[in-house]
Amino acid sequence: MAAPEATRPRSTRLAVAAVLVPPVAWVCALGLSYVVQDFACTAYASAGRNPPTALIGTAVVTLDVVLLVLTLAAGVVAWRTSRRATAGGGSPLFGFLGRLGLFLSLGFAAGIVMIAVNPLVLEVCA
Amino acid sequence: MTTDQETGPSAEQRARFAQAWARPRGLRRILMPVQHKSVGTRYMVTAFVFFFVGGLQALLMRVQLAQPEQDVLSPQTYNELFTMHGTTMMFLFAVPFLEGLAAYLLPLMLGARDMPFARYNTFNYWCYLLGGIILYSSFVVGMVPDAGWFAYVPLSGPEFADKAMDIWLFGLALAELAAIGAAIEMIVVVLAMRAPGMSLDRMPIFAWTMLCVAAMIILAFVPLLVGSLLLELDRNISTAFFDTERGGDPLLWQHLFWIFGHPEVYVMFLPGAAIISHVVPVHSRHRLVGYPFVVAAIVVTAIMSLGLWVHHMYTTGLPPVTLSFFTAASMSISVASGVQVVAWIATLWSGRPRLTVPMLFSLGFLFTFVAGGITGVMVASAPFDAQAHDTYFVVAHFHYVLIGGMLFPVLAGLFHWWPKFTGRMPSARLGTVSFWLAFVGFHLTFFPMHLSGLWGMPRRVYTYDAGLGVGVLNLLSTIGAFIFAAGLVLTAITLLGALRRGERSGPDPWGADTLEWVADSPPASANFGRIPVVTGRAPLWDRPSHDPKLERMSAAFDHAPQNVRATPFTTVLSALPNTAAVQAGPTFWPFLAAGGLALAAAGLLLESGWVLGASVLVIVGAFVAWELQNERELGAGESTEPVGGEYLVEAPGPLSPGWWGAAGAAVVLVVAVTTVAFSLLFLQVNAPVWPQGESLGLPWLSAGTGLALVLAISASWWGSRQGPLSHDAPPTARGAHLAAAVTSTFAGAVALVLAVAQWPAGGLDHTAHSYDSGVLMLVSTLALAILLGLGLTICALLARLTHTRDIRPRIMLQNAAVLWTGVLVVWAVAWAATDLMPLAVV
Repeated sequence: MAAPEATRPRSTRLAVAAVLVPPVAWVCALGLSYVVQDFACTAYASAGRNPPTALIGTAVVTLDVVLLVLTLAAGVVAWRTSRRATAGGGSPLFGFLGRLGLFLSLGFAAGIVMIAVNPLVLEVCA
Repeated sequence: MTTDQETGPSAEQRARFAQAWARPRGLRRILMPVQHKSVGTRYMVTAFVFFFVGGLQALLMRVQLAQPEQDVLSPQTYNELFTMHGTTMMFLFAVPFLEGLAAYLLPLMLGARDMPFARYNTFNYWCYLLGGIILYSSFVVGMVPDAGWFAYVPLSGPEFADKAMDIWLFGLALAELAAIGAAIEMIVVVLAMRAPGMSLDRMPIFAWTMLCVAAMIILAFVPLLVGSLLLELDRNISTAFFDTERGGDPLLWQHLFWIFGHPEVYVMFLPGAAIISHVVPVHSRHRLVGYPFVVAAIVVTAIMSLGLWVHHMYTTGLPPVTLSFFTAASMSISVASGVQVVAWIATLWSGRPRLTVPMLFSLGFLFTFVAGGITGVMVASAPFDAQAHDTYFVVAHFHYVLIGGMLFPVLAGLFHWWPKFTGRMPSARLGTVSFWLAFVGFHLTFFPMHLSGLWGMPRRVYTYDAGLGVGVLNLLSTIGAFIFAAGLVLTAITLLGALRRGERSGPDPWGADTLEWVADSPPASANFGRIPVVTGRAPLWDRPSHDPKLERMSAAFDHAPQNVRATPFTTVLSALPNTAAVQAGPTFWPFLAAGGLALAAAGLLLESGWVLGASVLVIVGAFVAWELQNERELGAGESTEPVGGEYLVEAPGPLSPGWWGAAGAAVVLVVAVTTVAFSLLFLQVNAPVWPQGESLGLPWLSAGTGLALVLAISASWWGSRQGPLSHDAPPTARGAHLAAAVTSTFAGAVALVLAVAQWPAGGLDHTAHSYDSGVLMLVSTLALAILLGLGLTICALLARLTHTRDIRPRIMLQNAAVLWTGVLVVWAVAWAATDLMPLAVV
């Protein structure tokens, strides 16, 4: 007899990844936004040169958008995991992992948006 | 949850089982216990002793500040007291107490018999205690640290601080080592030692929280340890990390300190919140509302807390966009904290609350923490923070958060679990009085500080001008502090009095829902004769269902094994039966090893080569004896036979604790070297020229080190794949284990020589420039990592040479391969920082 879908290794890996990706993506969004913007601006200032602010701003926003898409994709996977577990009478563990992944995805996606908007409204190397 | 005991082992088997778990007696009871309840109790008692000492220091400061322009304390004494008060409360009380509570409760809550590395757990406790003693020895020698608990450079640097700062740094380093070790313990017990059936969705909130907190400790405390080391090097061998004249930057210290310091707040708050998530449902007789939301909120809070450190640095002149990134993160985290508050209120609303003493402290927490959270949102805003920074408003805010968020929950938890710890009920009447004294006293102390801060009273100053108009507010704060102290003393009297006069409680006096309430009160040494099986989120409230696979494991461990201490090891997601994890028995060596480290600190402080040399002998001797005892015990008796004929005693990979320990050590090393690399990158972008002279530029030596490390990994990994998964390997497999261990040791030794040779061959001067200092630090970190890899490989060699369990060398070699992989990452990061980063020039 085939194992229920939610207990197959691939489904398990996806369910776990959907929980782990959003926090990692948020950490990367904050860390990379800070390092790219702050360190690049500071390096140019230390060298006595004008920083390429448009390039730095674009790089930060692009990074954040990519990470936002990843986070939302994890949310979609989590939502599907949760739906399958609920609809198919599957394991409560996978229903829980799905819901947890979905909540984390929404929470961290909001966090990434709040980080990403800053270079759009403030001067990047002021 | 089922604990069927109708059929079971004979009386003789039960007696042998009890003997295997017997506690040491007499003098041995002082230095040798390793069982989690002994260690947890010691942590908690020691932490509370430090708490009362820190509280006394606070009272002395309040007496000084009761009236304007008083001279009860001199400015110097005041500086020393606020430094030691903050240091004591943060490093010697809050975190160690919570680690002690976790060490005591986690195995009981999860259905395990002990922590995964019981001897290491004890070692961590001794490190913490000796670190505290070193810190307080500063009063004995008349050199009390006075640079604040944050020790900002240059105030704490060689120019302005005497040896008191070295005492602070060494004491702190030992306490931090203990915290990091405890974090590894917590991760392993939560992920792999849960009772059969306790899948992640059935795990108690306290376990979820301590898992997140442990991860935070590893990611946040290691940078402080690294920062402490950099400062110590600047102070004693004239490196240049914080010296602006030589390419350093004092702001680097603030980054490293607050990368630790802000998560530290949540390391204290999250366990406090978890206690409330247990107390409120039990005393409301209703399940926690929104369990998945609460778990998500814990994860979000833990992760986001790692990204808030810059909000302690709003006034250091950082660019507006940088500030806005961290303002966004600071605002986001308040939403996650709010989710938990809503869950508790919903649970109270849905249940039938009882106004017991634990519930009173929980309600006190809710009120106080929400107030502190609101001022937290205020200071998370950069413009407001610029106005309130370094005033008493901030003092009021963080005491609301820390006392509201940590101390009140801890007191709720103590009254809640006291019957479990001692088998006695504390007096409800005295407990209620102590709560009201503490609650009223607390708010009388700290609420006026909001006003005195907004009216302009600066913090960390020993007195204030009468014309400032904050005399009455300060007098109120001082009166409140004494009422608060009276409440806490009465709490202690109530709890200690219950030890003798409290009513006997029975196993579950509150009608609670988690596994610790199945065990006796106080619990037996092994916690559970028969390991419980879990089939629901609230095991004592849910109707048990039967699962033959889980029941089989429970039966196999029913008062078994009897010649060796062991507990089930289960899978990470579903807690399905896996293997048996051996649990260590009492021993003296962890105490001696920790004592050796303290002796090393003393040798460095006294600048005595003899003491330092003796300490090295003690440390090496203690660790070697410790390892030999491990191997001797693991080769004995039943540890060669599967428990119940089915569950292997240790297996390769994540099926045994050692793999997790090696992976944890590798992660700690990688975090440490990444911190050093981040520090150098920070200094590089702030320096006009980097490096000042030549960069290290020794590609062949560096590549040779990397190759030797690859060989060490390959040899260990190959050796770990030889022979069957049993204890009777053929001679060829035994020979392969031996050859692999010897090859790996040789490759590690070559890597060590090549790594160390980089320093003299590079011709750099660590006092010349911060780049050179950084290279020294990176080479040293790499050398330390290689030494750890060598240590574990030599343990594998010893395992092969000393006993007949053939699976043991395989497992040890695999653990060595995991650690060597971490060392290879350390090498790669170090090489990138010394050779690649300087190439990035704008």
